[in-house]
Amino acid sequence: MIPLLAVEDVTVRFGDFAAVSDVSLALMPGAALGLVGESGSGKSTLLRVLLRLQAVASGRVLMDGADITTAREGGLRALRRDVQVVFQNPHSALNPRLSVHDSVAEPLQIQGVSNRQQMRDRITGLLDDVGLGEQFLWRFPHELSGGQKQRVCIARALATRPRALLLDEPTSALDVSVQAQIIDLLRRLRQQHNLAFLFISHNLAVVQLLCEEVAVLRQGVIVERGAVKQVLHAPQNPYTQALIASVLSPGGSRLSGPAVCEGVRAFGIH
Amino acid sequence: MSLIEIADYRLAFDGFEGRVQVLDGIDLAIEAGEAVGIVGETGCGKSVLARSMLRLNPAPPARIVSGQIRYDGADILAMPPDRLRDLRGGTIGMVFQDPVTYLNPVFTIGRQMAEVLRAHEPDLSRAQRRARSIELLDAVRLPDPAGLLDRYPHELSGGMRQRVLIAEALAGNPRVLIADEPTTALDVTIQRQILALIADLVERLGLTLVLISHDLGVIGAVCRRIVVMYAGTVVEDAPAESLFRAPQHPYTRGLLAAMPDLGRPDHMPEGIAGSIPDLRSPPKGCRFHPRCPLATAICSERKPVLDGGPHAVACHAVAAAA
Amino acid sequence: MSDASLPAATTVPSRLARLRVEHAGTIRQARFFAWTFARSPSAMLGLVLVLAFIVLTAIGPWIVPYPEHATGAVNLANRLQPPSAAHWFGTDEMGSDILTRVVIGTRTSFWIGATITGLAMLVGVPLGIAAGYFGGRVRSVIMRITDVFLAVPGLVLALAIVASLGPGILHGVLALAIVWWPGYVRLIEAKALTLRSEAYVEAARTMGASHARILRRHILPNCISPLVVKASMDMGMAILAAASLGFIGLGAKPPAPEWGAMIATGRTYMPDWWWYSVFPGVFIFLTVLGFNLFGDGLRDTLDRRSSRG
Repeated sequence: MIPLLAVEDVTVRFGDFAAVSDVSLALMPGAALGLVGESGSGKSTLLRVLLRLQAVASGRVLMDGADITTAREGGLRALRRDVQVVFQNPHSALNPRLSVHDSVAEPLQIQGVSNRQQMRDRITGLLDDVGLGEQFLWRFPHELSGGQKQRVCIARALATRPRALLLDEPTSALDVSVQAQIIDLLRRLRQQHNLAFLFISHNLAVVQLLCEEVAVLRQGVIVERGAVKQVLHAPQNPYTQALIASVLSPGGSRLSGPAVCEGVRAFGIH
Repeated sequence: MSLIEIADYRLAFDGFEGRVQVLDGIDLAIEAGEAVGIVGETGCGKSVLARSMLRLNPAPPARIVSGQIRYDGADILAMPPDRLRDLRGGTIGMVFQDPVTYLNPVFTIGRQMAEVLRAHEPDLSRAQRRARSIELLDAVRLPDPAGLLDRYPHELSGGMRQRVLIAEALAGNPRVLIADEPTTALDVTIQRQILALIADLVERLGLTLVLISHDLGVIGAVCRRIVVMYAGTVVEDAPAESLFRAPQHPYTRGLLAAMPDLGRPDHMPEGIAGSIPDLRSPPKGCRFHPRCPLATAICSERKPVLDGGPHAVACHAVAAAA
Repeated sequence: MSDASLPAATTVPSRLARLRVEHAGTIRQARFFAWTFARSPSAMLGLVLVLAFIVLTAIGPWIVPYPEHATGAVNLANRLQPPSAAHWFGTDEMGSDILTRVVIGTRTSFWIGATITGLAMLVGVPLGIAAGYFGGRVRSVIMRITDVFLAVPGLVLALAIVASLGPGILHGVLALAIVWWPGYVRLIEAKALTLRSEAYVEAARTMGASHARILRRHILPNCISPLVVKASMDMGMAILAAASLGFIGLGAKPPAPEWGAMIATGRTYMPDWWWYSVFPGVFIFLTVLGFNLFGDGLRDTLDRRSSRG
């Protein structure tokens, strides 16, 4: 099977600093791949490479097997339609001057829908899909809660009927009770629309709920990858092990002093 | 007498379209040496409550509607400004969420430490201040504290900056440390280190800790007692073990059920239906009742009070079942 | 979440009702602005002064006691009269009513201020947007040119321009507009630069939005708040600068009713005939103060909204 979206040996440099070094990654149609890492791991840069928002120093970006590494905007029509993104912070992902209707309408207008009634019905349907009623149509972002904003972002991402969603920490800025709702929504939407997910997160417990496969990124390099069960429950790489050891269980695992510091410090993480 | 005593404290913010009733009748007593965690979601008032302990909420728009906050018997709400200043950053140290905004980017760490020390111990000589700064940075387990004095904030990682701020909070030899989401902006591995440091300091220095977080995992990692807040009210106040083993309030249960758990792959987190109430016109009675699966008629009429005992809960349904 | 399964065509709302629904958010926002603005006494004072200025501009010729004095009637019998019931602000050396001339002067000041600010925006905003949004070489070229203009003190440059074009109000306005636009480039460039990396702009790019669309929908609308604030402050400053040119004799010339020129002439009659200079001076002061306070108030209001959400 041909991957829907892939990078091959991609390196991204900012000056002398390599944010991503020689990374290869493939997202299969309908699959859910988790990309785990801390700040500075290069996961967001990689996301921008996949979206063709970031140029690469070397390597290739492929969509459905076709090389789009240097394609111009005109040659990216399939990417702009079939691959959509949901960002971490729903507060900055919505233009404060556009109502919910206008934000969700944007991708449709770009795709050329111009009939007012048709547009209106489609938007109402999309909002319904993400659990928002018609009363939200004309609200502005600042009148919505964090969870509602993220639902609007998801509705906007679904507007072009994409085949893949790239999700950049979509629940990190939300309360846990809201996070649970969004996880549930994403799982349902994936099934309903047969979507592929590339899910970027530092939260391993959430990755476990949404993905089948996971890659662990550290300082621009993939240090471990495999099935979620295997990587998260029998990690081979010492960094993955440290990452998993750092997860605080909601059962109230009390920390016992300096020992923990030393254990993690061994990997030079400050 | 408790070290910090909050009784029937009500705080409102005057804003556009009316008064927001942010805190509604908070009763909380914290003993010396306790490690208390205050947990709740956006808008529950946990940070406002923490700031109230040092009267840090600017008024207006804040307006104290009723109640008292006592520190060691002294009424904080009636305290003259100079005594309040001694308390802030002195007897009570504070650490906030975002370490970047609390460090001045144009001064070295040494200069900022010296300034904090000068405020607390004006008699120290230059050399003494330097020695004390090194001692404090060492206490928060920063490597090479002497070398660090000449570095600027941007040369430090987020975790190191938070350690510097904790060191500054320790400069006044505090008895109480109030930490408001101290690890929210940090990576998980760093979060664990900072929490371990806080737990260690509390133990070593005999500090009283008030840790505010939206994350029960964070609170559970450090605190022995947990206060759960919802929409400006305390709904449950219990020892950590007891709260995790047998949560009583429907909101606490909902919160625990909503948390994903790496250790339990089959546990599907469940959200809490509905959304947080508009505090300009909060629900009558129990503020949680519109979202509560156990709500009965009384819940919309009378506000439940925390029952006594070590595991206190404010819920009509729990009281009726007992 | 609520149930949205109502059939869409059950009611046919009137156009007005539909507009009201679709703009409910905008209306709420406007009410919030008004509320925030009204809470600041200084902002309200600014608003009152600006409104008074605009009202005088609009209806000045119809309310002044001696409209014919605006263009400099000669009535030497009445020259240099102190303030009285007939001439509230006194008269000048030609016997013209100073109140009349000062009030009519608001028109001159208004069009001077509006023209300078308008021209500066017309040049500065597109350049700022181009520099900030597109970056790269476009940005370097635009910003270096802007820097050159900013490096020379504005009024000095304006003086040089007027000196070469010859004095007169039109040349003065043109000269000031030429030194005024770099401020707008700076402001808008910085704003567009931050907006460019906002998540919603990136999101629009991932949907395949064209540059034109992104500029129209996302960049420009979000530049409006700082633009309005700066324009308000600049109205005051431009009026002051034009008056300065008039004062040193390079701007408006008597008998045109211009405040700076009036002060300049009145200066020779100080201090015995103080009213000649003082009243135009007070008008300049109140106008500049008004626009500044108003701009400050706007900034506080608009910033509050942005911090709110």
